[in-house]
Amino acid sequence: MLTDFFAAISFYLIPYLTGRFFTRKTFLAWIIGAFLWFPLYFIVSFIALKTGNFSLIIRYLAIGVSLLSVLNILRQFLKERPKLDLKEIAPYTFLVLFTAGVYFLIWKRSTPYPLQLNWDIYEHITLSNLISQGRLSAFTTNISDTFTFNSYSPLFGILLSLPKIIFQRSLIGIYWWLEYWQYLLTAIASYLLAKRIFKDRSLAIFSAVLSSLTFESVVAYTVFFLIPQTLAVLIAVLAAYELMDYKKIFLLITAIVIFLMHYIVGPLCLVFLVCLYLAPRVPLSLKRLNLLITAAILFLAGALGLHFLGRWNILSIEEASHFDFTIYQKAGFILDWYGIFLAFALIGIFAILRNKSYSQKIFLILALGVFGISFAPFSYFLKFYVLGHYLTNVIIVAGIAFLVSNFSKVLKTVSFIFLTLVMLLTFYNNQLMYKGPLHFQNYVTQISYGELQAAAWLSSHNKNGNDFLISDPSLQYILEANSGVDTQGGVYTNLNTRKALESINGSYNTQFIKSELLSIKDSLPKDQNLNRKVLFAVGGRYFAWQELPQSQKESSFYNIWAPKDITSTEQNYINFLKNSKQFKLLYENRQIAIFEVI
Amino acid sequence: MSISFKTLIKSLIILAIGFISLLVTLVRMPVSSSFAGGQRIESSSYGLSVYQPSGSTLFTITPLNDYFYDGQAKEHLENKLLQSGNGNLFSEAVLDIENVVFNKDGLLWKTKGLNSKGGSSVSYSVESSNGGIKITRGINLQKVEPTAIGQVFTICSDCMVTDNTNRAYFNGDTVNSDLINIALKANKVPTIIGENQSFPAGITKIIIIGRDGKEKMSMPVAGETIYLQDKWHLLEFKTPVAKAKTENVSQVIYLAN
Repeated sequence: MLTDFFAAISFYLIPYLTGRFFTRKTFLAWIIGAFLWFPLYFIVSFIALKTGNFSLIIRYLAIGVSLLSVLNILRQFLKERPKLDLKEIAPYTFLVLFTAGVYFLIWKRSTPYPLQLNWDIYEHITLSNLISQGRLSAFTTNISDTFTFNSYSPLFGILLSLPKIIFQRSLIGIYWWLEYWQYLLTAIASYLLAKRIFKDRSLAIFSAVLSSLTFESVVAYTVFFLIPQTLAVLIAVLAAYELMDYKKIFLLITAIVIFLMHYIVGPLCLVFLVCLYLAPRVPLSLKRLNLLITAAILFLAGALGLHFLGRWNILSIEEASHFDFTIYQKAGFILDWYGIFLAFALIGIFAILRNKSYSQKIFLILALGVFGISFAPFSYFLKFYVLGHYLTNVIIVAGIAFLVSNFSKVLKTVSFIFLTLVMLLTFYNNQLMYKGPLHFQNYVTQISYGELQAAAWLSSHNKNGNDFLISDPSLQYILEANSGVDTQGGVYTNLNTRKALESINGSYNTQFIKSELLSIKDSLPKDQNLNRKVLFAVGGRYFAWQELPQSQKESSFYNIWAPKDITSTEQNYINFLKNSKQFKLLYENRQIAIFEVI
Repeated sequence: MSISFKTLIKSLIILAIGFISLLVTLVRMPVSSSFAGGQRIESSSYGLSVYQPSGSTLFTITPLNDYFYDGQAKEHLENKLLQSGNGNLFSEAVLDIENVVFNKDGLLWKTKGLNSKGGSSVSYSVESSNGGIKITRGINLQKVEPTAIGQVFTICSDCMVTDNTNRAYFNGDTVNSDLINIALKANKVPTIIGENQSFPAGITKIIIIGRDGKEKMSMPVAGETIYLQDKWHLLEFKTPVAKAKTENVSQVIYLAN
């Protein structure tokens, strides 16, 4: 657990130390580091084609660069002996304590190390596992058939593979810690953004508190999930804080890193940064700014009004059609995330329209625009609300700032405490709803200790890399990520595999079951191993999946989200397979039985 | 200390938004589910279900299975469910506040329906009780004054009903050699009873076990008459009541971890 704690820090530290040679700006250093590791991986992968020691080269390179950078920082420190400004550190200390309290006492209360609440991490772990073996391509779909769409480059996977390569550990425990750092950094980003806009420290701290209690529990997942879309926006928001001081080359690097991090959310972040960068350089009169705000309000109203004309699925992915929400569903999400705190945003709009702050007006235009885009009636557009999270938060705080502007210090503090408590309850309710379907034994989790033990066994069994695992999509997904054993598509398994699995449901003809299982192959030709050993994992999840209606079994949207024990009736089926000649039991626990198809 | 009118209005706006937000949150709280230990209790439009830690159903209760007795006549509390839910906004909010303030796991589920005698309403409230959960049925029958209430539990399909004297109960039409062997393996004495035949007197506890012999839950018996309809996995606790149109009966259940 402690090693994973340090490994999680290395996800941020190694790119930072790498970029630190080029700049002393903290966030920019990380961005430059991330940018450098991207081509470096491809170069090392090319070199290691002949030598075959990719992981070893990366490991020594990362450790070497980091040590040199630390020495460089030490040298600078001893030379300059900078003084610590406790007043400057105090808000960060408060945010560390506050976010740690919320994260470990509420969010992870029933999710002990290394159990997880983020379903998306397994595809990133699978990708990073393959990258750490030197499997690189500009397209994630060429690395693993878990990816059916290239919505981002392998940059995130590359950065995630750094702690894995250096510490030689499974990523699941590292991820448990990583998402706390993501949570803390989102709070810090909100603090810095508000500090820049309102130039008021107490408002900025309050803004960070509000931000960390707003969890978009559908599609966006800004604060708690470390995934490419949330990291892309976090980089953009942190870069926005110091953007004006960047040299042109660093601006370009920042833009490249954000784009590579996410091809859909990234471009919106770039528009946001370009607007912020140009705003002071192309000054607009207050009258024009107010006109632009009016236009943005009309745009938002139009985007919401469009719902009454229809809803559009612009991606040809089956899963996307399930993220095509009605305006009433979206209103429900807003109530779950904010209560009615958006009423403060209305006051915020009024306050910003009245005052003469140039930066606040620019922010309002951007916030309204991003809100409009995010809530437009197009499937998956809610993803853009990852950026909307930070911008809406600023407008809400502007409203509260307007209301408390002439309050005494005591009344202001009481107001902040009252609103924090209300938001805390809203968050508590929101996270309860999110966790509702994830109860297993005394835990709230998407993966069980039994499944992790099975994955560890699979990993040790797959030393020559010839194992090919077949199970229901959710078991394939988590077992592939945690063991490295290949599956056909993990949770995004294709229709042929789904139909083959469906056809064997309840069948007691072992010859038929065997032939259907052997017909399943990896979608990537390079992963279609002729010497493969086919393993069939059946468990509580598998049986639960088989009980789903056919339409749901053929959709990647419906999964068995929480672990399940094998019931005694299901055990009868396992016993039947055990007694057959075509299946040899290799491993068994209360949640999973793994057979070799012979 | 004097507060200006402007400050007062602004404070009231903050308070109003805060309290309305609080109310919205409370109303949207998922009171349709609760937790007892590791077990989830959930209401649906049909009934209340308690889930095992594995995620499969441990037992379900519904007025469509519960009975009222009018002398010798026996009828379901409701033959048709007209309406069901977690109560009105006020009762939900009160229950939520109680749950949050007193760290309780309460759950309320109310129904309105019809039986052959007329309208009925039944409320099921779940609360923690001495390490177990207490399910109280609040029954209101418009035109009948029952003499007894049959509290029926639809138990897990692969479970077995046993008691504190180590008997395992089966109906004659559903028992088979597999079930007998499982009972014997769990050191229970297989006992065949009819669907309308009550369990022997003197039992103090009903214990529901899985086919592996492990206890899943237990229910204390204090004067109730117990029936088993194995075909539908129905276990009934018939509780005598004083004749009245409004009745309250309860049953405590201890869930094994």
